[in-house]
Amino acid sequence: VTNCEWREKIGPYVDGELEPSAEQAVAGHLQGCSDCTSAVLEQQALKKAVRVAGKRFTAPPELYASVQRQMQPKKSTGLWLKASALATSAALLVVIAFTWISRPSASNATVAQLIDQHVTTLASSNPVDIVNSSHHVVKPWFQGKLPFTFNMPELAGTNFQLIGGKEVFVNQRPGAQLLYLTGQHKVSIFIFQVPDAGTRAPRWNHDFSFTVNSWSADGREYYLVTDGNQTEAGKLVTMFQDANRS
Amino acid sequence: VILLADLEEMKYQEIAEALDIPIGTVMSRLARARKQVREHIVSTLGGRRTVGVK
Repeated sequence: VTNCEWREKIGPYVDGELEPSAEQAVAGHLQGCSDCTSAVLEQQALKKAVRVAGKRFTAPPELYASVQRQMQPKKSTGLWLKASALATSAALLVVIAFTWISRPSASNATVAQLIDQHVTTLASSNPVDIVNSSHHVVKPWFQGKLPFTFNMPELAGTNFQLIGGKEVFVNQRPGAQLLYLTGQHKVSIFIFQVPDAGTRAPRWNHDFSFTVNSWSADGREYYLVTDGNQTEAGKLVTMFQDANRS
Repeated sequence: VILLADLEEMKYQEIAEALDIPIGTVMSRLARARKQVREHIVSTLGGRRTVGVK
């Protein structure tokens, strides 16, 4: 258990219940506290799981009636309400757990979002937030912004140039987008923290008109998206794998 | 309380008024409910998944 003094503000912060000044103060604290950043992410995921599960599960009409009664000025609570509330909660927990288990880890929905993100980047006049060709500058820029770290490959003697990077959010998760140039083509590498991702070898995804690869290792998921060819992109995949081998 | 907050997206003040309880009670019940849900998920899933609880 982390005993950060800010921890009790995390709930109200995620719920949007803080005064603007307090909210800014928490946001400032999050820049430098990875434990609280993790707590915020976890809280957001939990909130979403409850919302999703709540929409899937229909409470019995008698529970609605009981709650309605309880919301009247004169309450008539009783064992019945408690029993039905308990039953609903239990059923809901099962659904929440199921929702959590069945979260897609590398689904095409995620890939589609990443392709959109890549295309948005290409179309933007400010494609990245940190513009620098050195990974010694780009990598530290993510410190405090992401609850995880990663290594970037040395590019000396390769056909790749680093353009820069930015923080992205996909499926309510923060991640890093790194933009590279090879020939006339731009390549995006996306990195997310997925604690239970396991280890998965690079796999090409041919469901889209873009060149897409994804792999995972050490609690991180990597995605490559480019309009360039597979052979060249594959070299960058290998370079990232080598750089992050523990 | 957790359903009113997360599913119905009601503000703490609205929940307090609907249930006729102080706003401090809403916050403490919400924190307790979330803790229970988190613990339940962790115990249900066992060691299969980490939910990032520290």
